[in-house]
Amino acid sequence: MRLLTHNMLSSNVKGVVDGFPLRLEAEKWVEKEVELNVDFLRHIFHKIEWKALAGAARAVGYGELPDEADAAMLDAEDFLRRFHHALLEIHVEEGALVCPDTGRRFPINKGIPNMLLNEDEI
Amino acid sequence: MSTLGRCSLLYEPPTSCTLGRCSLRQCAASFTNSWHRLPPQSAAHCSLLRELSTPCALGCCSLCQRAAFFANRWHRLPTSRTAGTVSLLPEPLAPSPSSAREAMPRPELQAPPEIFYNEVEARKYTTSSRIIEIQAKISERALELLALPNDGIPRLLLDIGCGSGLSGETLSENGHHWIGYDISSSMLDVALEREAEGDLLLADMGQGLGLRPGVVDGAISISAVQWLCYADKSSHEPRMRLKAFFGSLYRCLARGARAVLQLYAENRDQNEMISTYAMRAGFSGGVVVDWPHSSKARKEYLVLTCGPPSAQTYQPKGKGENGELCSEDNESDADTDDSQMVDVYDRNRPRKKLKVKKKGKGREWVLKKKEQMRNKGYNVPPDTQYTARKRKARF
Repeated sequence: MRLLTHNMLSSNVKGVVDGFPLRLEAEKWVEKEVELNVDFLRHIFHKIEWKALAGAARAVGYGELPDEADAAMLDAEDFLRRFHHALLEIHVEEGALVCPDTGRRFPINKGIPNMLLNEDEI
Repeated sequence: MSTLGRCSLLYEPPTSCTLGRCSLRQCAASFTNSWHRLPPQSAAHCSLLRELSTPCALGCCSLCQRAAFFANRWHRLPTSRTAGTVSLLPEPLAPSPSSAREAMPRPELQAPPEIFYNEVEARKYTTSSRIIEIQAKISERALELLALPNDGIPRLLLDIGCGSGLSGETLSENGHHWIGYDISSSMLDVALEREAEGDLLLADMGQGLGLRPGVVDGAISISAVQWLCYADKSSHEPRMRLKAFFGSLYRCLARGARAVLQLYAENRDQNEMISTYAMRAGFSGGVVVDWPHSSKARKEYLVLTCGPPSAQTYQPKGKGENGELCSEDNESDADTDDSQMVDVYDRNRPRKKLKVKKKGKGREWVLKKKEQMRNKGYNVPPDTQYTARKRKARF
């Protein structure tokens, strides 16, 4: 699971008001190089919750993202490269996502988060 | 029995199962439950099921097929729920476009998806070139119907029911990023093996997608949504699951984004139910049917647009609507076309000539028979040059 997906996911458990962002507890992650596409980054930037991305990147040991970001920074080559690396190149392999509201854990195995809910959580 | 309109087999056994394990008897009384569960022990089968050696007279019941096949522990009664009443029989001779396909049992009727798509079934999606080709074709068409702006910018898409990532491969080839949902972990394992480029999630679409609002640029789903029409657990309520699915899909899509759902509905009721809940969630759009005259190549796509209908949300046309044949598909598809042309041709077709295959019995055979009759003690004329002689043509 890339941090892009983590940034989109929110907790789906019954009764949760604000299930975003899911706390990322990463145990193992890998980095895979992907070609940088500036158009995509500019397109997706407005949909990204920056704080959640920066927090998740720190959870996987990548602390080079600034705490705040705005669209003007997208012109800087250096920023784009970091943004790209954090968003698309880090794959969380093992760990868990934790619902901020209820503390429900969604385990991540082999890079696949298990988002299945029990019957009483629907 | 047929006047009752009920399955003859289910009603015949007056006694309850002697083993006391089978819920068959209870279900005969309360038809609301469309599932039968067989006793989990495969060694001792239910005595009722054993005794039913004859197939159901009406042919409506899948019980007889199942009796031979105990590995599958599920029974589904052929119920059709209409207006609150449940009859055992499907509507007799209802003209359904999928009737030709019924020869192969629907996977939806066999087991819940997470059980049906086990390792064996998932393996087919890497080995069978036919399945791979069909999946690739459908997903290409779905991507086309998605009508993303042609500006070369990669988008973030959803693949609902991504399975082994065959449809996602098409998305990746077109440069898009995608998030795949599936409920079968075996299928997702295969997707990992195939090195699917998108992110995979093990999730149940009937529980909602769990995404932030307005972040996704489009969604495709290949042959998955019809699974929502089946209640596989006691807690499942198809209508609630459809509502949760379409509601969460609507929320997560950006305004004006599209969702293209290719589905194989079992009957018209299911089709109606699915599109009703899509409309209720706020989607506009409709069904696009490709190759409507073909029984095999026919594909239905539910093309949904996020937001109210406007001039921009034009409805794309299906392929092969005006009688054009699906020539790009293989020849056998064209043969099975039940278009009107074929009917007319059929009516004027000259009768087949009766071919005479056997040339009749020869002299040797006659001699042998005469010998046999002689040995039995009958009075048989002697063999002469005239025995088994060919008649003249003018006779």
